Amino acid sequence: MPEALPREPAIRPVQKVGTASTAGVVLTLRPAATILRLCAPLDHAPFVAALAAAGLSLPEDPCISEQWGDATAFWVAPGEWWLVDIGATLTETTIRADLPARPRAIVDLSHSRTIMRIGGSQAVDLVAKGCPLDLDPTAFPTGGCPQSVLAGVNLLLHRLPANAGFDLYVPRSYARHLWEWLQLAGAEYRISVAAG
Amino acid sequence: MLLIPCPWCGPRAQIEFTYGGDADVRRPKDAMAATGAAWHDYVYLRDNPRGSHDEIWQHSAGCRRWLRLTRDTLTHAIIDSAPPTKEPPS
Repeated sequence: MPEALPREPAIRPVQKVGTASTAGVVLTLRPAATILRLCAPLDHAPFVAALAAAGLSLPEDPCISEQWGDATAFWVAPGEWWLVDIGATLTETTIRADLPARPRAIVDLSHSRTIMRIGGSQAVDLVAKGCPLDLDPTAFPTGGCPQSVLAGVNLLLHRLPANAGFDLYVPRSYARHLWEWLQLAGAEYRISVAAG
Repeated sequence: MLLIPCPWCGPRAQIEFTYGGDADVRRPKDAMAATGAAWHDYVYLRDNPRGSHDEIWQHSAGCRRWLRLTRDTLTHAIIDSAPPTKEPPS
């Protein structure tokens, strides 16, 4: 494998401090994560079994994630998952070595996404302004990871436990646009931009 | 605005989808032997039914899978949504 380049943030947010206690929305730029896309669209049963043997159970239900410690597996399409920050458990090299013969693709998406966290008591109101998803917890529960559109940008939304809001996996080149949109659209809720 | 049931992701807004056209248009089988009229029919001519219509759509902003949708063009009711068939009907 080629040597990985250091990850540079797509944007450098200006921190807005001192308003966090009254802010309805808290925006945080998350540190770059390792994102591996696993794809075995034709027959993914052996693939799921091999990863289960390695201690990683992949979510089989659509648009739901599975958490192991700091690592997360997202269902993104039938026979397709993202593994986020699995570094401590399993590396790309071991995944490739464990699953050599089966028709599958493993792609490193780490550099392609910018991760933003929307927290605060009015995070749902802000997302609802630009996203057609049903954000009711019955339709989009904790751990849900549907892909949809927010302010014209295709992205993946991950609903965090304990009403902590959402993580947005934004295509990197749209990060500046979305970051500015979030601040404009969220101004009425009073926004705090936290350090990442 | 349609609310389209993706066979995998469930009901989603139309803006997440891309329209792929009439599901039953078939390319002429013998390309060299097909007449100009047959090609014209394949490329340009479409039925415009009033009522049930089979269409293909892609959930392009979601799971990116193609699906086959049966839709009433008069009432906009969604009659059926299913994964595309593995083999194109002959």
